[in-house]
Amino acid sequence: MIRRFVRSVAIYLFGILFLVPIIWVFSLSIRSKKDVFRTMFFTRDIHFENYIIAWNTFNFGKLFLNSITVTCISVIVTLIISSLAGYAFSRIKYRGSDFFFYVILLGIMIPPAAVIIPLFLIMKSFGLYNHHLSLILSYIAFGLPIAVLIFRGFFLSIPDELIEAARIDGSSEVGTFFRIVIPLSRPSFATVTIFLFMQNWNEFILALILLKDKILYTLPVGMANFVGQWDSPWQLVAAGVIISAIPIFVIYLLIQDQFVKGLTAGAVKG
Amino acid sequence: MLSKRLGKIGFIFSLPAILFFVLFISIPVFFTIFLSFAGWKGFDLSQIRLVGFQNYRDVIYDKIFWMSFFHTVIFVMLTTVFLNLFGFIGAMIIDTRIQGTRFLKNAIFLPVLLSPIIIGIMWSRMLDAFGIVNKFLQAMHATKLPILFLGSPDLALYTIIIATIWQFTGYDMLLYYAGLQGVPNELVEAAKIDGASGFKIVMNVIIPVLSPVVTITMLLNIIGGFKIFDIVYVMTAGGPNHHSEVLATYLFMQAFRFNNMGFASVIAIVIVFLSLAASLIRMKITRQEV
Repeated sequence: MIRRFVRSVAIYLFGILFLVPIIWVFSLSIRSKKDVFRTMFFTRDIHFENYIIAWNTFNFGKLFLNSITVTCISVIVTLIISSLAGYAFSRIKYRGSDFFFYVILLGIMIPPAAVIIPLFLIMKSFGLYNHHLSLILSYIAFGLPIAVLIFRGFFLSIPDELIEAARIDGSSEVGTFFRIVIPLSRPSFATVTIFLFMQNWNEFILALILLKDKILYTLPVGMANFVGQWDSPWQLVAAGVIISAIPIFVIYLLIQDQFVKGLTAGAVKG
Repeated sequence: MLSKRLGKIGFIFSLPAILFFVLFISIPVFFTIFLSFAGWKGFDLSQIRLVGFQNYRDVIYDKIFWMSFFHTVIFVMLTTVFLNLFGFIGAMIIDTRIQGTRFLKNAIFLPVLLSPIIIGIMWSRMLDAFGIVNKFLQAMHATKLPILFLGSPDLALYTIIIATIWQFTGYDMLLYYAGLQGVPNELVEAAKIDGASGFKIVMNVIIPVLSPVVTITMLLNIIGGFKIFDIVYVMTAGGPNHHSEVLATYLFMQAFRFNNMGFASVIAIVIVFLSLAASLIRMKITRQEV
């Protein structure tokens, strides 16, 4: 009994110790200018207005809006395109469908960093450089491989009879897909959505090279470029770090299990 | 007749995905290969000249390329080993499910949710001359002058590695935790009855059952490590004097600071080659086990 108690205390202590970086940043974010370099953790002198100042100084409203726009559009389009492709590659195979599937699968191994030069040139020649659309198009392409893989795997597990019955009843393929396949596949849509959302929300290198105007920056580029600057006041940097972390943290707390599934979707067998 | 019509529909269903893939991944990959054989300094496409293996020769004789190559290898090795070790230990602890493990699980997983940019900004300030780490070391009289973790050629890379391990331990932990749920209880109980020690049970019963999880997790860490960019860019940008330069940051610098597109493309090919090799090994292993 006592041993169990001691162990539990040790576990709590270790958890808190692990979070010291975050606790420290939080303590920094509510300090006065004077206390920034003077104290180690919390003081009596609390300044929550740092958050409002940080929000306005770093233009967080715009950063969030840009990130939400780019992330949501690219996730929705990827979901549509990849679920259709996953359905074709699993249930309406045609000559060459396996070939296309394996080629797209190869994309899992291509990191964006390896193709930034041609992507930069392609977007420039399309006139899309320094435009959100260039990011959206790239994110769709880089989200596809894993999304197609997961959807294909899930659709293969749908009983044949269901799809055959619909076909015999004269349902069109589009109708079957929307009326039977999609309603049965909600869990896989949730997993893919979360996976893509996190990947695009945090994406950095493409946003760094494809956007020039500060007004277009997404959250990660904006964080690196204004918030992380060494001449930015520390208490505001800390408040910025917390502001940018809160939305994801809240979503995680709301849908914890699905979130973990989505984030670890990269570990699917391929 | 029906199947032919169906086939057409199948092709139409998959066409958007194929187009996106070809346009924004396949063509860029082939273009990178082409550029690696081209001499090209600027942004005027008409000035591209083929130069054979000149860029490859330049890269092989480039000292900083090899520095960034070895830094990347060190990064991959150390992060993979420690992420797996700590992830496994963490999973064993939360699998006991005693009071407090739920909190521990969420605490360790929290940094996984954040972008490496945020982690980099946090750790840069923490390890700064005025940050909490130096404050603490000075209070303990461990050091008189603050240690410049990110400004030191010997420490910068390892500091980034530690920050990365801190961020992603939760990821490996959850993969191992999921794997532990598949270890048959009877196996562990039988070993206990036979009088095996805790350590022996882990080494001879649990790890063998988990071996597919171990391979997948390690390979994910390796593939992720080869393309490391964000956290290095935001913490040191490869400095001081290239002492924390990795392949992706060097590629970025050559391409977008010095406009050496050919040279940078060779580095890109090295990155693709490394992730390809790791992925092929992963595929081969998972195929065998499925």
